[in-house]
Amino acid sequence: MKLRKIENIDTTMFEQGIPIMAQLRDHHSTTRAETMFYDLTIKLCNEVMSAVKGGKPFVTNVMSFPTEIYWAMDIAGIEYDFIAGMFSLYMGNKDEIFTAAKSIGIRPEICSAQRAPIGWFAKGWYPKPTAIVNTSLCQCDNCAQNANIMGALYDVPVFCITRPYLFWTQKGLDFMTEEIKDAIEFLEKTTGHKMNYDKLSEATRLTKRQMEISVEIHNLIKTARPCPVKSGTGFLIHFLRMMYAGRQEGVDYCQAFLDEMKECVARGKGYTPEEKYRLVSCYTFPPGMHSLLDWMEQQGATLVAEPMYHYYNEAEVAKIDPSKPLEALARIFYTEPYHGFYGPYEVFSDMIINDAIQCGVDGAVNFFNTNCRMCGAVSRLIKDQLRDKAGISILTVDVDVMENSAAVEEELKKKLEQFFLVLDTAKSKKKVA
Amino acid sequence: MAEMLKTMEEIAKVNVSFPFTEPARKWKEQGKKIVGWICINVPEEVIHAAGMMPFRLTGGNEEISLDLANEYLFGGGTCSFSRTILELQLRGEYGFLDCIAGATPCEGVIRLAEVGSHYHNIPILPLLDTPRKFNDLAYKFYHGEVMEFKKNLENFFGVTITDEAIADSIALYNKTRKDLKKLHDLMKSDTPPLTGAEMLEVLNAAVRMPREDFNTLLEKLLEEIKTTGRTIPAAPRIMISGAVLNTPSFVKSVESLGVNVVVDDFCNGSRYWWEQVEAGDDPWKSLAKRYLLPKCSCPRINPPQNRTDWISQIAKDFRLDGIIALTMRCCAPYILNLPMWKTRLEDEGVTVLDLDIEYGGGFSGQIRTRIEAFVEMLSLEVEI
Repeated sequence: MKLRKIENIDTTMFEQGIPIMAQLRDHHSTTRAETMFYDLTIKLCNEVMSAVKGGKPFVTNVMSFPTEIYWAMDIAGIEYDFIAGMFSLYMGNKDEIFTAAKSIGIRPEICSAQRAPIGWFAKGWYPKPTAIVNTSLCQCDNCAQNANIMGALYDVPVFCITRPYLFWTQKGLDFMTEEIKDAIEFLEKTTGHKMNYDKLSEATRLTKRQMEISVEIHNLIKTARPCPVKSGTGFLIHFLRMMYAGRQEGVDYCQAFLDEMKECVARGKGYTPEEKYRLVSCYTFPPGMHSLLDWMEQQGATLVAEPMYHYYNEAEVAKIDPSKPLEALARIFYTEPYHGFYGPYEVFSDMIINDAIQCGVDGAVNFFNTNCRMCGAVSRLIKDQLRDKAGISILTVDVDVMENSAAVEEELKKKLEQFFLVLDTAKSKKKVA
Repeated sequence: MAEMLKTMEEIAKVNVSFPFTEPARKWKEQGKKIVGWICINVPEEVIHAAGMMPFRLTGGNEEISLDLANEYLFGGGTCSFSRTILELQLRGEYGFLDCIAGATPCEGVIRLAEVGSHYHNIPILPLLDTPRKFNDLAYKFYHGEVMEFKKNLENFFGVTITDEAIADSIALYNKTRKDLKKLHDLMKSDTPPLTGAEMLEVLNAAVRMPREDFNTLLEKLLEEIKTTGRTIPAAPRIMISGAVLNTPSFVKSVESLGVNVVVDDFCNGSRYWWEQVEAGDDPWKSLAKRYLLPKCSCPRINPPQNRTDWISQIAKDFRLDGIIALTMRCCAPYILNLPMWKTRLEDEGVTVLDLDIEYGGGFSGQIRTRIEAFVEMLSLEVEI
């Protein structure tokens, strides 16, 4: 099959995904913040559909695009990898979309999170955007290129923000600032909406506020015993911050997340009945595996540290200056811990090791995405460094961010059980010593 | 069967003892340094101007087992090209290198450099940070990177690279590009002077020996072609496209099915020699511009239009009947770029075969069957 413009776009499937978010909220939410997460995701999807039906510009982006820009330009927008992945994960159409992507040459070794949106576009299920914006994340090949395919399928313009490898240097910062300026020019041209720089300043102030709360969240994670965060919720707060960057709802969500933690601390209780194994999660816990998380909590295992989502540097957050909004957006990028995982190895290995030590973990688990060439590729190096620098044992398991079956879950449980025994032995030895 | 060219025998000999080739051995015996480089965004001229021999890190003439590399660089997501280089490094086969210079073209190469720096003892210079687009901003940024690279090399070896030396090196490397272009222009003939497998031997040798010596060999080859009038019988004309290919035996096997591989689209092939360093007031700026490869872009570059146009132009210039797109497993830039030009080329009447392959992989089983079917189809089209 050739890469041809999709003539028939039908958003029925996209619209059917929205109530599924409500079902997830009703069945899986056990905290106020989780409920807010699903509600706000639904709100964003509805904004997109209203824009599409009402003729307002709608732009879609890959992860890490500075979505403060949308708010300041009065554009509806949503992250395509997140929403396509979430919908397919829970709608049971993974095979269909991956087959659609494969039919235009996108092979299964491409990360499923970045293959999923291509499948949605290839099926004609995704709402037609005015434009597509993508980024190299930091150095992710998939994020940097998949938008070209989607742009060709829907015949819409594409702009890519490319980011430097050493993104935190002054040179990197200057480069990113200019790239963001170019992205705004592109969006002004394609949407016909002008940037409101006062609004952009306000948006960067709100993002900064989200980050300040996130610093508080991280500090509390480090000090509170038992852990006041529900395992696996780092994924939710991360994506919510990304989708609602520069918006008051994002600040409210972060505040709700923090308030619930404080309530837990006040009650002296965490989410695990008896906290036996405090763990650092080196990468991302595979979304959708709720029952595995529940099982882990029953075993007394808590994902205490999720550096990819919580490891903010307070000093760097303080440097974000909303009066210089373009530079502030560039700084926001490199202050976001998630991006460190797609840059130089030393950056994120230091984050993992420091977080593990600061949070007083007993062990580490690396649920690495087998198709991730940035994080997965170096799992051995992470293992060696955690052992050598922090004396921490690690369980490395390969998973896919989307394609995990019940059999995979059973296998993971077995591996985790064995790992808990290793941790028990290490604890006993420590006591004897 | 065309008679073997004498110069080709000399060129093939260079590649036989890879990785520590005979010319590299002789160079080291003189007490001189060799700098290994990964990725065509690394300006070789800077290494040459520092008085060292640039040596490209690749795999050898055949597929090797990757047991050691797989332990350190996870094979589920990392391409076999990166793992092959790591394997050779871990086996100590690249022990003759004094240091390694690299860029940041893709995840595979970045992690190869990072993992390598932890598990083998060849020093790695800071990577040249290579933007994923070509515009004024990227060009300015890359100029800074090239200047940093110069400084890093000078500091590491305690040498000074003068503007005069860099100008001389640029002239030397441009001479290579000019002569490789001449050689490829000859391939536009219905009866080209070389096989595709021979051309790959030439390209492999180019980056495994002192450049002055290679240029001499190349001149000699051009002269020998002229004097002998050597030609390869006409056959359907194809290009092999892909990220990187270093095994002439693979190309030879393809050609044995009755086609002529007249051009390629590899980073060790056309993309390596296609663009000259333009003369300008500032050689460093000229280098930065050239090494972002604005015309014959790497599949990683955004937007993909330049690359599509370039491949389309090659197809016209070389009057291609077909293209074999060798998609190396896990090479995300190539996988995500291929659909962007494949449709256009097919619309322009060029048949494209999309084939999965591992770096260095042999010509057997399903690969052979699929190429045979492709060649059969091309032969029918050419007859019609």
